[in-house]
Amino acid sequence: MSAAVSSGMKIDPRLLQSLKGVHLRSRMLVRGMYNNRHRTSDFGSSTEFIDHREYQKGDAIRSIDWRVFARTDRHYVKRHEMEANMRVHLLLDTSDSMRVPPPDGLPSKLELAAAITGAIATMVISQQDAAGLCLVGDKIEERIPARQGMNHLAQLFQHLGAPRGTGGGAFGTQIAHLGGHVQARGMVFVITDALDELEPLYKAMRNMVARHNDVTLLQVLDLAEVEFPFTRMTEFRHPETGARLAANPSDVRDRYLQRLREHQSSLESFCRKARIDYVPVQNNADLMVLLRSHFLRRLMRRFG
Amino acid sequence: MLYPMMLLGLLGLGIPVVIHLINRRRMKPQVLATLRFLDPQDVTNAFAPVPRDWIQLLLRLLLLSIFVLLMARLTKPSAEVGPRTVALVLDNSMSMRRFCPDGKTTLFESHRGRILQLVRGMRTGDCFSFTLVGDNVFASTGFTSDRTSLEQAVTNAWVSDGGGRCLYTTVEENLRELRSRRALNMALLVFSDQQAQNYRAQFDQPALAPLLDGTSIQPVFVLDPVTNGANAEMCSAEFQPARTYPGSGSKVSATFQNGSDTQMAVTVSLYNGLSLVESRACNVASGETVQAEMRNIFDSPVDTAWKVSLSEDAFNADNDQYTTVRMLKTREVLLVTGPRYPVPEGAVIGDTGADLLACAINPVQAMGLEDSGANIRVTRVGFSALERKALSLYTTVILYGVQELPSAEMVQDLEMYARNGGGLYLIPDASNNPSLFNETFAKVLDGFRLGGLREPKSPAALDTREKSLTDPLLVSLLRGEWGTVNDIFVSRYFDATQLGKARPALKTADGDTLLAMVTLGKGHVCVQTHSWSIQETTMPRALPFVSVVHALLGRLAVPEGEVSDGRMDHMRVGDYHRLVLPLDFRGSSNVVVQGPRRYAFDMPADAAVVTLKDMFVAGAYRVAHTSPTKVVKDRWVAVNRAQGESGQVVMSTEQLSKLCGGKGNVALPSDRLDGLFQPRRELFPWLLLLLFLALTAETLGSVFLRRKKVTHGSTI
Repeated sequence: MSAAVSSGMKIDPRLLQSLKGVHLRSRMLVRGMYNNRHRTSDFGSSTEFIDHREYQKGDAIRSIDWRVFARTDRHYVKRHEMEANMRVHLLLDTSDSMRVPPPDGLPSKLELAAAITGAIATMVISQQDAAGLCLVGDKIEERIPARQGMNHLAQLFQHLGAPRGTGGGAFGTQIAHLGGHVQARGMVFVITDALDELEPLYKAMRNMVARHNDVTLLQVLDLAEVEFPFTRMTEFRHPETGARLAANPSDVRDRYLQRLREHQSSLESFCRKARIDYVPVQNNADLMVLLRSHFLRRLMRRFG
Repeated sequence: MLYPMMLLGLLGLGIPVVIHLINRRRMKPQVLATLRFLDPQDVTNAFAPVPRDWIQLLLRLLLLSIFVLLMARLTKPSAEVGPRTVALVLDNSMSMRRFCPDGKTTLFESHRGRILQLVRGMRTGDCFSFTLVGDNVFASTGFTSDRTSLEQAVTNAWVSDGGGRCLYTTVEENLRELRSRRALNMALLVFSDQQAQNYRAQFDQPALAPLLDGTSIQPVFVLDPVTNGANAEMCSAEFQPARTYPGSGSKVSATFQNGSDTQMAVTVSLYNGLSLVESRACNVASGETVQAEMRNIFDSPVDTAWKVSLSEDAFNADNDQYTTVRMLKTREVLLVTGPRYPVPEGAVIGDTGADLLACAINPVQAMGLEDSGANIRVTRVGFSALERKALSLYTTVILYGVQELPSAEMVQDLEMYARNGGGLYLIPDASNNPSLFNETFAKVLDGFRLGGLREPKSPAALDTREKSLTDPLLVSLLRGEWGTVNDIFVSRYFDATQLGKARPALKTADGDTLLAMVTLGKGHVCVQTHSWSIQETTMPRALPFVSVVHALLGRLAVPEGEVSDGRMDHMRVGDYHRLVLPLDFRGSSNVVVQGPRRYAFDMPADAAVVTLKDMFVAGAYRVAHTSPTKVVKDRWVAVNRAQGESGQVVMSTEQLSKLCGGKGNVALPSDRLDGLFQPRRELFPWLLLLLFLALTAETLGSVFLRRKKVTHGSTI
């Protein structure tokens, strides 16, 4: 596993190393084109027996369970599980709100989100699954279908190195428009700051879940947004709408933090109900710990 | 208030206000994606006054105000006089030796005692400076609160025989120093007799006003009365000649003046050291100047110092003048004659030019008589005996009718003799071959060449035009001071074909050179183009002959560069004087000058010259070598007092007031100095305390508020 693929973005090799050996498994049955270790909703030729059904015309003779025929004198065929590869869709918010200048020494939200996306893509490709990428600004900036292979990973990294996108404010609406492009029975990672109106995002994610996708919401926030450390009289400006607001931070901090907490609570509550993984990330977070622990927790939940 | 202009600093109060407003208005732009969580209802109160800011602003205004008041040096009325800053200037010029009305103490002693009283009355916080000034600044303590050092400086103050050249400058400097200090009770006390000549350039203009403007400095020129009795001033006293030979006499001319309004009976006394030599009494009318002459015969070859003194009067300091007499060594002349002039035996005197010359130099010796007291002696030898003579024993060597020397080395000896300060007098006669003469003496003639012998049809008269001569040696002859020159003619003489570096000192009316002077190193060479034979010139029979010969020998005996001025051993107090010492002094690193005071001066290693300076007490000083083993002849230097200190032209109260720009109470007697200062004190300690408290409050407030802010932030 390389730290950098082609001439795109670069990821700390220690992060990739920490994720090595951690398998990404969907909590739902997947649908894939190629054989792999993921359970699918279709019947196939694996060794994992599922059930019998009556023989129908066209079934292969070799699939008839002759022992059952001997007991029941009727023709039944054995059905086995099908294992296929998984399609993972990475939906990355590249709007202006993700490009807010970070505090000194920290990565911006978009840089952090790109690193997370790249790490997940590397993880997916390295376990022979297919990864696709969708960059969303005020419109769908880039749509790369899920594929396998290192060449595809290089392409993804290239786009993640300089993710295109301007404006914003309608991430939820935009990903809702993706529709059939995000295929059913796969995994979807929604990587955004989720600071827009939540209803469209909820709706879009509900649709994805309804299409049997295992959805994970990675909410990336800036430390300044979470802690609101400002002290002097400040003129705040929204990066997407350009709206301005002059305020004395000490006067508005309490109310601000309360509203932010409510927002986060709402998001968390929705995700819990919709069986969506919710991972809040701040730009001062240690990704090696955060991602590894999250994916391990998922695995344990699956097998526990 | 000592610095009212500092109140302008209160304008600076606007600065924290402006900063406060700017801080409130200037907002830091910040991109915030979570803007929707800010409640506009909260933001509407963003510009509402914040108590913390207001407290901080008020504290800062208070701090600045106190600081400005501190800088303005606020004062308040007080029961007693606050700390004083006083510059004390004491004039030590000679005029301060005048007596006070009590007739016992001088003005200087009275003023010094008053200053001592002031110094001893110093209180805690007082800061005084003391400057002793006259022709120079003799002592300056600077501003100090150390009473002991001030007392010591005042006690050691002495009065000089100089003037008060530096008094006004010192007053200015002290005012500048006080101006820069800006204390509450500042005063400049000038203890002097306030002679107008010390303020001469400034007494009719407000010269000190710029230094006093805008300050609370109180200048006080102490004006105490002095006795104004009859006084005669010794103006000058000097021996003429100041250099004489043992056995010779010299007269001292003393000039003195009665500067008072009444007639005085004055006694003039001549002292040699402490012993009275001669005394003379006379009556001098008011304003009359008298010259008294007293003669003295000098028997001893030792240099002497003399004092000419007037009898006691109202001002004794100007009664004395000092003078010196330097004794000359007996001159030894070596007269070398050519083969045509046999050395006469005993008292036989011939009529040759050489005989006449020897007779003109010392007739008593020439006639074979006993001559113990003569200051010039002639040793006459033949041409062949020259080699056996030690030239260094003679002041002058005369070569009469000599055209060649016994050996070539002899010319070199003569050259070195002349270069080291000896005098060489070359007199060719008609029998000499000019070419041979030129060849023999080329090294000492420095380009001068004799031509052929000239015998004009009629004897040539002397050219009496002084302009035609470049050496003034015989100007007195041409002016007829030594006798008439109309009967002096020259009938035979050599032509001077080439003068070289020689300077003609005597010419014929036709312009032919008869006598020329050549300077060779430190010595001189005199070349005469004719002899003193009566067949060649009428000079030996003329009256000026002896004077001419002695003038020539006098010039040839004095080495080049030695000062021949009669005042060479006299100087005024405070002047620089370059004293040429005998060569015996060479090799001494310094010389000691001992008189009323003792001084030591450095002397350059390679020259016997010393520069005397910073001598401010009049008297006769002995200049001695520092080495006790070296025997040298001491020199005397007469250091005389400053002139012009006897007059009593004193600055008036109005003039002093005008000098200070019309300020009142600037001239006070010394017994009215006590009420000089206002009973006020500075608020400095209180303001300092307030400043400290305000600063502490501001610091604590800032720390407290900052800590509160941090606590608030950590609860998120």
